[in-house]
Amino acid sequence: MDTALETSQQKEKLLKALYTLQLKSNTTLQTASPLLSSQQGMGMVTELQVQQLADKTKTLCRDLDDIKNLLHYRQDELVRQIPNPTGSRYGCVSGIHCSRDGSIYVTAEAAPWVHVLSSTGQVLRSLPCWQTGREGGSFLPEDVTVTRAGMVAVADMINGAVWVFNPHTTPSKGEWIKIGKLGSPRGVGVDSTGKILVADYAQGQVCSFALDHAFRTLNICSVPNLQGPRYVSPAPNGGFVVSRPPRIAGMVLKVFFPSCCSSAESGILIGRWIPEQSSAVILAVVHFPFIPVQVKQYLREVQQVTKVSVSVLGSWNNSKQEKEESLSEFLEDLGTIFSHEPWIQISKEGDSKFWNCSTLQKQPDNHREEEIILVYYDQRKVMLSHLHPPSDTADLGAEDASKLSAIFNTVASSKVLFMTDRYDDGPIKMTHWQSDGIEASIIVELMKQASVPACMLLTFLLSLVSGVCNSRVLKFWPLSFLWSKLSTCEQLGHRLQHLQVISSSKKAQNQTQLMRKANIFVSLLIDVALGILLMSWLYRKNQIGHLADTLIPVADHVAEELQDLLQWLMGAPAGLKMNRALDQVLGRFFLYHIHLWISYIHLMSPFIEMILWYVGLSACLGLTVALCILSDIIALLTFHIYCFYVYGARLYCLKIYGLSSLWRLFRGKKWNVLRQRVDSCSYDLDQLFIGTLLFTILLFLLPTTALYYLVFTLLCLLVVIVQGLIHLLVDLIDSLPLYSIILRFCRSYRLAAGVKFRVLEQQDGKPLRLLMQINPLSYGSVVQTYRLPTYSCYPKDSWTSLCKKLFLGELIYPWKHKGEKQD
Amino acid sequence: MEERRYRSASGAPLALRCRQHSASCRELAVRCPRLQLRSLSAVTSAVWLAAYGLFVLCQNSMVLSAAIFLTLIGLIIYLHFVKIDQESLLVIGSLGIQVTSSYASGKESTTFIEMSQVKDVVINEAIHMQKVIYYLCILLQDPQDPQGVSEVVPLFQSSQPRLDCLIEVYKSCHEILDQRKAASQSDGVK
Repeated sequence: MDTALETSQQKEKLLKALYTLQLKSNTTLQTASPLLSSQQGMGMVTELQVQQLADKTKTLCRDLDDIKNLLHYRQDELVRQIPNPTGSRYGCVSGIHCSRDGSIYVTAEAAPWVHVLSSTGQVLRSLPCWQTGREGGSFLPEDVTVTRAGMVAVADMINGAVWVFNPHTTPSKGEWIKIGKLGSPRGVGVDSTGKILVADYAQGQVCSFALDHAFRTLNICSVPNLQGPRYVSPAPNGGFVVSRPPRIAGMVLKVFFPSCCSSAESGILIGRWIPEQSSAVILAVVHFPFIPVQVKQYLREVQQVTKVSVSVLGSWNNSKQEKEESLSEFLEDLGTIFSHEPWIQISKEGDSKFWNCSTLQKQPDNHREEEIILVYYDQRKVMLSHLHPPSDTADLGAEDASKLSAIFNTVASSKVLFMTDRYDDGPIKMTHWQSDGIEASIIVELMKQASVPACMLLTFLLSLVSGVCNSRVLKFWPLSFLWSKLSTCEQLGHRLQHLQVISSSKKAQNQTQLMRKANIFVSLLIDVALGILLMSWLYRKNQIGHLADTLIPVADHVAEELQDLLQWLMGAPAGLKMNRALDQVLGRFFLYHIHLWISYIHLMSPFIEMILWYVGLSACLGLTVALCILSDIIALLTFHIYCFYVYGARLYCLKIYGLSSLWRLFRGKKWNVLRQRVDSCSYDLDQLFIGTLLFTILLFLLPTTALYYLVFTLLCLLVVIVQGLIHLLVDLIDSLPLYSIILRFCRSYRLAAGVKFRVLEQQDGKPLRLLMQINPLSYGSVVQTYRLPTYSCYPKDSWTSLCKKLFLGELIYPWKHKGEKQD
Repeated sequence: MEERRYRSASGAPLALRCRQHSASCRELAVRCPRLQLRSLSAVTSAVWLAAYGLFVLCQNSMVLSAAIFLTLIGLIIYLHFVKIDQESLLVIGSLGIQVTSSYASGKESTTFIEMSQVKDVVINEAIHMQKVIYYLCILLQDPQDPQGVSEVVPLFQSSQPRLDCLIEVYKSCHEILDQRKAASQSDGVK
């Protein structure tokens, strides 16, 4: 369907008329038809014709509804967007005028053309704004209009004139004629009497004049005292209306100035201009004398290496004595050599704290008072610090990336720029934070040199050790089972992994990897130091002997206590009455076990001291290893308690299952294994009899078994808790990022959570002065970010499932290690 | 720079100080009431009396030294981590908003939120137990969804000024925030 507005409107009108006609005629016909049908043969209207008419109007009404819906839903298509005829290179469209024949005249911001478009958006022709003759040159039209005579008139602010296009000159197709010397004409219009109205922005007035056939101005009159009229349009009866833009501050210009350059000599400022944020990050000041070509070449080299677009941003004038006029003029002229938009000029007089900061704009059409904020920053600290959380510049575009990370990145990537100090004999003399001498540390350099052979040696040793560990000899069943149960082996494997990470010859790619390596190194160092301390304490004054001497009596004591406990259980514990026979059986069984255990301990007693002496040597591998060994010794010494727990738990578990199954039998039900549900079942009489009998027996024996189970579970849990605490301590030592914490304590600016601004003293008329300081990360977030991963996981059972397992007598393994097969 | 008196939600007297550093930079500080000597001496004497009573019971002088130690440590922890002296808001148009809390021991904890992350500053009301309290908060923009809010940062949490004070702060903030909206709009039109 044709969506041209006019035709749709006409159609709508037509259909509306038909609609009303249909309604009216329908009612008329309805009332008339019975009369007509009774008067047949009168030649007027038959019923069939009435029917046909009614159908026709119905279809026409449907069409009307369609049109209405179409207009409603496709409204947006009625508004057509015509793209900028000059493309995007010259800025957006500014002046627009629609002539009587429907053609549109547009001008773009910085393009020297007037485009004539049809109402559908096609470019009919483009008039180039070119002045012919000796003073040939193009001009930029601001606003466009068409005079009564059909000639195009444009306002040109830069040349202060109104140009009229005369299409009838020969031999060319037409030329532009300059009219008058006006101040700064920005808007142009034609009023109802045919006179041309011009809005003069700078002088604040609207002038109107008529043009005769020789293009001379006649009857000039003006309306003064208008503040900054921009566009003018005619009103009926010879008046006019103007529009005035508000005087709002444009995007504020932020200048980041390094505090080390505050006392530098006069020169030019180099840094990076970030146009999206309207901020200039100044990296250094280049002093006189310099050759502009060399400076440009140097900047190009720096740009290639650092991938940061470094350029000359402005000039810095530090006049220690009186104001040097010639220098300031010279600095202004530099703006033309190093063309940069906007050209920043900072000047400082004597020792004054308040500096003058101004910008030079090439395009004076930005009649906005730009506010300037001067932000001082400590270049060394900003360069060395890292922002957390690290922003992923690959994901976000330049607009989304935070301003601060852009500034930090700029300073951090410009390391190459800071490598030249003032003792270098280069063509360019700069001032930045390292210009007084490059910072370096002898210790760091020595360590860097020593680390390479040390790493290689360590890698070789580690490969030997891991080769031995992975040999087939150690993979046989009893040994591999033992290794997996001992926590010492886990810890040793963990530390081996750490050593491999440190000794790898690949350099750390980014900040997190570097911190991780450093954390592992410091953690290992502290671990080994504490271990050696422990060892020195153990081996002094024969502590090992004392320990070995007390070990056997302690084991005996524990065994005795257990025997007393069992005797108590075999009697009437806590006043409960137990089943005498079962009690005696279980008690004697456990007593025999303890007796066996004590015999084995006594068998080993002469060798204990020697074993402990050699095992104590392994404390030099680290405090964590010593603690793991302690935990393993505890596990071995209380092995019998664990055995008792397993026996008690299995017995109890068996009893509970038997009881539940017989309870079902008691009620006449059965567990259907296939369907995993309880079904009813008809038992024989003898099955029921035996079942009930067994059920009663088991039920009355339950308290005894339950008591033994409870006592030994509690004992086992006690041992498990002690072991768990030791493992917690080991985990803490393993995972604490000591290097990061020390760094946060000593050099807090290296780990930055953000920045903070402090407002310095202000003076009216001077730009706003702020000091940007680094906001360090809190200790909690340091630990959270740089925590080292550990190998053990904490109890995965929740409390309810734990209780359920205890009640049912299932064995619990609360401290499972990662990588073990699940039960 | 003026200072006006207001009240907090619990009735304690507060002082609001508004300072204009430049056309687009404004600092608003709410000063909380200081630590009262009365309450400090009351707590100290209560603790020491209890310690003396224990000493009389068990005749162990460790109790007394422990009480002194505890009081000192408690006071230091309170001044350094709990008692907030002043909460201030520094709004710098086109840079961001900085929220500072200064504690009684002189420690200052600062957070700076960039202007591109700030969606709006609003006054919200919350129902706390039996009363309705108003609080000023900053809405942070969700980077993925331009209409969504990713986080709400409440301001003046420990001083809790009443609605009249919050309205003053709100108006001050919005004068500067609206400048940036106007600037962005005019840029778009141009």
